[in-house]
Amino acid sequence: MKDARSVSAPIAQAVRFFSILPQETHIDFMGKRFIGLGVSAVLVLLGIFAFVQIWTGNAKMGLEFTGGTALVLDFEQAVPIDRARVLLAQNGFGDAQIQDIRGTNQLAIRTKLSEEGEQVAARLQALFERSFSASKPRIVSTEFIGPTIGRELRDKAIWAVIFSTVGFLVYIAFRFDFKFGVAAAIATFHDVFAVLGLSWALGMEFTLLIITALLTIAGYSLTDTVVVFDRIRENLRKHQRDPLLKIINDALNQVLSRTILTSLTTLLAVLVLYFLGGPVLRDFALVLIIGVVVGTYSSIFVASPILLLWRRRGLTAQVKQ
Amino acid sequence: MKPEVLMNLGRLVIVLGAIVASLLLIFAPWQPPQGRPCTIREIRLGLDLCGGVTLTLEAQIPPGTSPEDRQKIMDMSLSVLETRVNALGVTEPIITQAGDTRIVVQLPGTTDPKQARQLVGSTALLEFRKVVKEGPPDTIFTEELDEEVLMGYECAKPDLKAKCQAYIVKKEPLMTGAVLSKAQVRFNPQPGSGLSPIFIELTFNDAGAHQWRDVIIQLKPDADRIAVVLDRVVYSAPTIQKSLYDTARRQPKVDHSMITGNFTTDEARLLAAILSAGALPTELKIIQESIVGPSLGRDSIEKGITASWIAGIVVLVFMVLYYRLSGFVAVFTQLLNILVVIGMLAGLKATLTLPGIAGLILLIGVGVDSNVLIFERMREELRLGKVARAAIDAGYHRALTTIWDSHVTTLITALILFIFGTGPIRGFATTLSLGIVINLFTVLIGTRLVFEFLKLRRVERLSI
Repeated sequence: MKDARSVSAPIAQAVRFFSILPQETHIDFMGKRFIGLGVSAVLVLLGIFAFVQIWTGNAKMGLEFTGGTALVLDFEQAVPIDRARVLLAQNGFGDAQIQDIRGTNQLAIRTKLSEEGEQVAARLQALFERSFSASKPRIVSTEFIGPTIGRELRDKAIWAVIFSTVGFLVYIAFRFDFKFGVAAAIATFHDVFAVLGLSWALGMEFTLLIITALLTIAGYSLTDTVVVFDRIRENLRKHQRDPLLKIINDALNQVLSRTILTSLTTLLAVLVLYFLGGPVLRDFALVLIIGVVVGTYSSIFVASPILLLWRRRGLTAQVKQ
Repeated sequence: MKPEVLMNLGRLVIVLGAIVASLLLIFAPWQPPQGRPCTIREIRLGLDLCGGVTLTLEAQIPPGTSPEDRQKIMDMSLSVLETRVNALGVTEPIITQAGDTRIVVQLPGTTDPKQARQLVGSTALLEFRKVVKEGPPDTIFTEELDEEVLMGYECAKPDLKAKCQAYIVKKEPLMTGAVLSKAQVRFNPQPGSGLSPIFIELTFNDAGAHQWRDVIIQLKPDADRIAVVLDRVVYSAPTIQKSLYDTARRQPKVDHSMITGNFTTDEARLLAAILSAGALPTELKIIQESIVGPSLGRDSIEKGITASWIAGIVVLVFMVLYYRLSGFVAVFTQLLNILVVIGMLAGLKATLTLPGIAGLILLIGVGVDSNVLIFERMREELRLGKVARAAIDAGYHRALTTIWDSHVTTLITALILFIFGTGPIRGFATTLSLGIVINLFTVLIGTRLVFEFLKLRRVERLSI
């Protein structure tokens, strides 16, 4: 038997891959950093504005944040729930949630419209009367319901986000350098605010699901940033004499194929969810689509330029070995 | 055997073990096969997919309470219920205030309405009271003004009636559960030693530990008994042991106690969940209970699930097209990944909602990142002219630092979110942490195993 190591590999053949990118790129990302920072400033400002709108209750919020009216309708003749859903959706109650109460002819409906609960109930009753004349709807009960995500939960969530930011900042400072930590934190917040702003500009209703999407993006963006930083750290050690600008540019080019591929696979998944997932997943998927694009952009044009802005001074020496 | 071979065997065993454990958690062959609505094997379906049980509770607020105080009581009740029902944040209930004094709780699935009633209905007022006398339930007691009769826990259980006891206890509690910091179910390591097999361990906060010590030392060792009373039912009435008494005398505080009793594991878990969440500020009376259908239409559910399948398949097909043979490594890793995640979710009794299913698919989209990092690094090494085996080793190891740092960074973030967040934020953190840890596991063990296998084949060219 021959030892595999003694076999010389046919190198020339081995290095031809199916690839969407040329083998080596030399794009001067950092030369374009000021354009990037300009775009980012606009996006973040939009995001902060949207955040204030949400905080002060001026944005479109979902049922779980606003509360609304809950009513139970009793029918003499059962109304098929699928048709009831269609009826409500066609008459401006698109976000109403309907559940049938088992063993009865009753439907429980929750809707965001809370102005004068009695009136909402009467309107719905009339609606069913008109469309299903034999059903004879009767209002069993109607009452205001509070938000499922109350103020306390919201405040705790904000603190949780702040503490976790401090947490990863400390970890990155420990593994890389304090400046890397700060840059990663800024890049992550940049992404969340940018996506928040764009979603708000698109007139999206903010539901719990959208908040979950934003948190997912924060995680995605953080991973992306750490991958780029990791390569910068490696290059800083290898090429200590190179200027920082070149080191960062090289690192960005080296991880470019990975950046694009990962964004592509994630994008494929969320695009399918967006186009085929139906109404429940559409907004969720849209936020993620925006998030993937912004996240990819930010790992190149936000996190790294911040390192550069901090100047080269001492950075190489300080990076942990 | 060479250590290298041993390592690979170890990896193989771990991967197979993870697959078997996940399948067991999901399929639980020891459970009765049907009869539980809204579950697919051990996976629980959410309110949006399948519906559940709705309980309407009326807070018993004394008349004359100001609206501000009333709202404070309601807010606190809501938050206690949230903690009880949704400690890990993965139950996906709906808990809202309705009107001024009512609370509507919707719990997914309808596995056990009785448990649901106990979970939301008990006030959970925990007290430690001094026992004066004990006897069979039909004893005629003569109690003093400062004493009262309470019944034992067994009295309400038809199968434990024989052990039913009545207790005369002091009205004034020695201590209440307000100083409790957590309650956990524990199993007695030595069955048959006369101790109860399942008990609930109580941990007090600092103030509670001091109080508990002071309570113990004012009692007579091996004579006095303390009744552990929850919602006016005596759960156990242990004698103060001499050893505990002596310990208390020597130390400024005693921070543990326990509740023993004839519980089943499920009862103990329920009790621990109720105790950990703290007492409700008021009694909540269940005024209505009904079983409701799913909040999403059949059409929406079907679309969402179909789209999730397609999304997952599209990503995996893309990986195979792009990376050829190595792409199959990614497919294997990601299938392993998702299987273990679903297994863990089943183990945690998490509830799967439609967005949850979409999230699992997203996990594939993001999870291939680790594979991409490794593959791209291997390609770089091949370009530098390394032979396949060397490229596999170098690529894998170089990529590992990156994967490690990016995973740990996100994991730290998720864990802190878990600690400080509540409800859905905590649920997000739970699933995210699981996803990260499991992905790290599949990359470190699973992907590595496959590449080691490829190396054994004495590959000269790497299909990547």
